[in-house]
Amino acid sequence: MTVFKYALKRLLRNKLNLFTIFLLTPLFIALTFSMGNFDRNGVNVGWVDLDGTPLTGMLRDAIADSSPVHELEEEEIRISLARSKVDYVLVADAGFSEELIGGGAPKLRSYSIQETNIANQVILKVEGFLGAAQGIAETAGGDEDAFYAGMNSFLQGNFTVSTGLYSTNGRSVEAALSGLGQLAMAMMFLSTFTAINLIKERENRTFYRVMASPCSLRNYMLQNVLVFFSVLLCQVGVMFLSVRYIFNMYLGPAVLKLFLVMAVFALLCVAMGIALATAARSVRQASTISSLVITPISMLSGLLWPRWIMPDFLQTIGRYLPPTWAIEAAHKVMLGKPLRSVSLELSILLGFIAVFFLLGTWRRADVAK
Amino acid sequence: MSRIITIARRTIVQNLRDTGNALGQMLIFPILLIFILGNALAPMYDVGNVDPTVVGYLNEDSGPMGRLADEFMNMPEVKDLLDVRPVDSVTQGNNLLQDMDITALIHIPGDYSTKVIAGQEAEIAITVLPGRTFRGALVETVMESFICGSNATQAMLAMGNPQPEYRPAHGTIEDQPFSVSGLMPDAMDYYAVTMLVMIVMYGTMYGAYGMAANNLYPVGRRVKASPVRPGEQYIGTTIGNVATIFVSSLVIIAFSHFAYGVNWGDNLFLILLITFLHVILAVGLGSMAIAVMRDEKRASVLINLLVIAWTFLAGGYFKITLPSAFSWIQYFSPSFLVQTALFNTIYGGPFSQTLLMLAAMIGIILLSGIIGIAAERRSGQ
Amino acid sequence: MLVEMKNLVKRYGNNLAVDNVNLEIAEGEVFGLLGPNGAGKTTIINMLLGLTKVDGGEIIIFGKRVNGNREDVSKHIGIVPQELAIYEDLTAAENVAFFGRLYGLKGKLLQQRVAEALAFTGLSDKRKEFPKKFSGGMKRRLNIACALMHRPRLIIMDEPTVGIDPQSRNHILSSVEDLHQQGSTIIYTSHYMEEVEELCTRIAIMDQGRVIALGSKEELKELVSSEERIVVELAGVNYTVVDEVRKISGVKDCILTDSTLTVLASKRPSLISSIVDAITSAGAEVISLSAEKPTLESVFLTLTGKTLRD
Ligand SMILES: Nc1ncnc2c1ncn2[C@@H]1O[C@H](COP(=O)(O)OP(=O)(O)OP(=O)(O)O)[C@@H](O)[C@H]1O
Ligand SMILES: [Mg+2]
Repeated sequence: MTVFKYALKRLLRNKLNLFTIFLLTPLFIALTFSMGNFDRNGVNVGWVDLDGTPLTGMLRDAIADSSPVHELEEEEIRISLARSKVDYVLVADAGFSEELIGGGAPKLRSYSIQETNIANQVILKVEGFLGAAQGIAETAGGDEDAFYAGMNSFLQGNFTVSTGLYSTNGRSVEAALSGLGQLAMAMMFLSTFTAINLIKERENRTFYRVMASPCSLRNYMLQNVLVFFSVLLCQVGVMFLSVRYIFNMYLGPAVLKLFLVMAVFALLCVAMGIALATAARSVRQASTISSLVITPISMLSGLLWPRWIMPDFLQTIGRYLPPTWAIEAAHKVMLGKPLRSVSLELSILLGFIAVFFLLGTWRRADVAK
Repeated sequence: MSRIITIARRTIVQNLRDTGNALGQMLIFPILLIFILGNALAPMYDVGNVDPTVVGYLNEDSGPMGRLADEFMNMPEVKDLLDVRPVDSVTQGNNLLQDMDITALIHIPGDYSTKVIAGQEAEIAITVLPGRTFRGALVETVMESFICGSNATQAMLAMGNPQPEYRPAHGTIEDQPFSVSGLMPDAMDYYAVTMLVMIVMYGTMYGAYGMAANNLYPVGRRVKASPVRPGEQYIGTTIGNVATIFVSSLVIIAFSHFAYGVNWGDNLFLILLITFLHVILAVGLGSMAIAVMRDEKRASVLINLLVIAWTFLAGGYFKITLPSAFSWIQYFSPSFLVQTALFNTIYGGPFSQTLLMLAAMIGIILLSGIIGIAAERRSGQ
Repeated sequence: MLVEMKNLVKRYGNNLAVDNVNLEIAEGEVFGLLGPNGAGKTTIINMLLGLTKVDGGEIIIFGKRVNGNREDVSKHIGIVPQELAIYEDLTAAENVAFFGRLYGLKGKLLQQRVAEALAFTGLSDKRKEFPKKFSGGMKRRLNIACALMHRPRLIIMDEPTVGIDPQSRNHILSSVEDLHQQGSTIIYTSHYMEEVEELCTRIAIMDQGRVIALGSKEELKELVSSEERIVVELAGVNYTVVDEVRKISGVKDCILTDSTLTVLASKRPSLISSIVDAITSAGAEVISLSAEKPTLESVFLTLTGKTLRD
């Protein structure tokens, strides 16, 4: 285990590397992407109130229940739509409330974006609200006080809608899952580090010297794999602990199984690093390849945002990328499914591992080059 | 002057020979990312139509309210918004949710009508997949417009109307549609701009490397030993790097326009001017980082992190909306200044703001230049 | 024999890097491998270590074929590679200890051998420092120390003194001498004729993958002692001079550069007077004349037609 021991020693000695690997980069990426909301934004409604009565206020509040409302002046309407500050603008003209309470059916003006039907839900809601208001006005028979009393009892009605997020066991694992995605990306970056270290040993000829000693090539590779594998496992462990105890997120009911899934992914990262070390001719080339490849792979595999938001053809591409399967397996395990249910994902990962290790096999004949 | 040109030319040649490394990164990377981001995150920037949201619908109520709900779900206005898949049990609904076959499950409980008639609170439950902010709000809004009728009817009954009549007020909104085509970036347009800005920002690396090579490496020291005046080496290297990055930017702009159909607006001159200033700014900042830190490795770690932070703050990865009390933070990101200037130019934003951004960029350039040359002098002695 | 190479062949594409080499090295020898750049010295060493595929022939070290017994054989070999092969981020002592462990040393013995190897190469007071801060010569010495701590029976040194200061060089040369005294067998490659002349008991001269001469330095000089090189400074040069000199019996070659005439000829009495006669009869005048004694350098020149450090 000499190679293992000294490689670890040299790795730990390089504080700058460690600092970036374990802390800065993952933390940064995590912070950045945890703030993302990758669905389409809700409908932003512009509201121009030229009437200014309690009724128009009630209407505005009703809209604001489900869509953000921005108060606008009449002149701002077009520019706000063009700047996509708002997606839809409603205007209540003066006298609107009076006419409605008097039993009429006054009209609201609206400005919409021609290219989209995004405001339809708002329209449905406003029409529902005004239908109710008209009915209540009719019942009140033009009596303003009775009308508002009726409106209040309408607004506090017994019928409600409650919305909850889907999860199997009452706690959502989504936050932790996106954390895991970012962890997976950081792990892939670390695997570049594996490659760089191996290439460096080749470049500074210490590899040659080790190969001249009784240490076999297989032994040398095995111990190096072990070094990077254990570093990655530590990284996963640190991440699990901080997700759980610092960020207070829920990792699902089976943390150990989840760790197992991530351990398989860690092995994949090491295998990728070794394949990269074989393919790249210099340290610079290795780091170029990895930075060119890792970010796009992470995006397409759904490490930075959920896969479902992407169009089908990108999701299909994602199916050929190993991290997709890792994160899929992780998600299932976090939802409390048994390991059996992720056997397909795990075998695909193991297949990738085998392929990368084969690609990364160094032959003795290469040593002197 | 000729010495500056010699050094600039050498820098360009070095940058070009380095194909497959840095330059490949400067071109392939952004072009790839524009494509992925532009497609993957298209819904976030889409002004186009919204497809009906697929919902599971579990109606366990056989009373009058249950029948009303069935009718409501069949209304054409609702069908435009919801693609309803009836389900038989909560378990079936949950399974569909888990497999992401439906986005939300609408559940009307069996005692719904009973409760309504008894005048008790009655609740329709919606379960939404996590992360579906938009779709979730949509389903909720639709169902609220359903209960709106029930609440109205109950209110009218309470007011003493024995035969309350509720009808949604269809046709009360007089709409004036308004075309925004060409006024808003779609995802591809958006990311072409932000990725260009990001990659030019990474050009700081060139600046840093150039400066490090001049001051920290033997070859650079050797050049210093030749009759080069202080500053000439710095200016020459900078010119070489600026030329390299600017040409890469041109390639990105041209490629994104012709291959992805990205809209770069009508004022190409101003776009190029902003980009050019940005390139100078990036190279200047890189040189300054080395001048101050005197350690290439540390400087490049710092630059890497800063570029991520700046790009994020500027909304380069995805649009961010900071609470207005904090929106000033964005101005600390040079990427934000550049992006604002570019978007204003392409989509007709206020020119005064563009000018302000340009002035700020020139300020940063001057500052980094002064510090860079000062450091060069100091090390030259 | 400690090392036997039989009909050794190594090809790189069409390039025959090692061409049918047969060498035997006995226990206790300091064996010199001499040759210009690209002669194939490093390639031979790589094959001895089992680090490069052998295209033909076989190598037997300590009575065992290297092919198939690499790990066994390599235990008793110490290698000083041509290029530095040390870890910049391990201290001098850690470097030596690391390689010591790879050769199976442990515990007290390891500590003791590390100290010995460092003392032997004069690095004891730098044991806790990182090679980053070392001078070129100190790095070379560390490069050597890493090959010695397991007391190998066979030490292979591939140009250990390249590009360093005279002080470190002398240190290295005298350590090779010490190792020899202690009974180690050493294979030593170099471009420096003086080093090889001084150190080696037997020398092989290589060119283009072939051994073109083999023997002790006296035997090698004997090889060319039948030849003589005469350098003449002329005045009033004209081109008939070369023709006239070539007519003399025994003259093998004659080259005129500017006003210097170099003549290569077999040794015979009155050779010099015949040359002077021929020159004068061609109408030129002799300003100075020198006849050179054979050195290893001139042996080399005669055999390969190249100078060593071109
Ligand atoms: N990996 C390789 N691939 C192709 N050709 C090689 C390789 N290694 C060596 N050669 C060729 O083999 C020949 C012998 O090279 P070798 O390194 O053995 O020379 P050398 O005698 O050690 O020279 P030097 O004194 O410069 O170290 C050269 O022609 C070289 O070009
Ligand atoms: Mg050699």
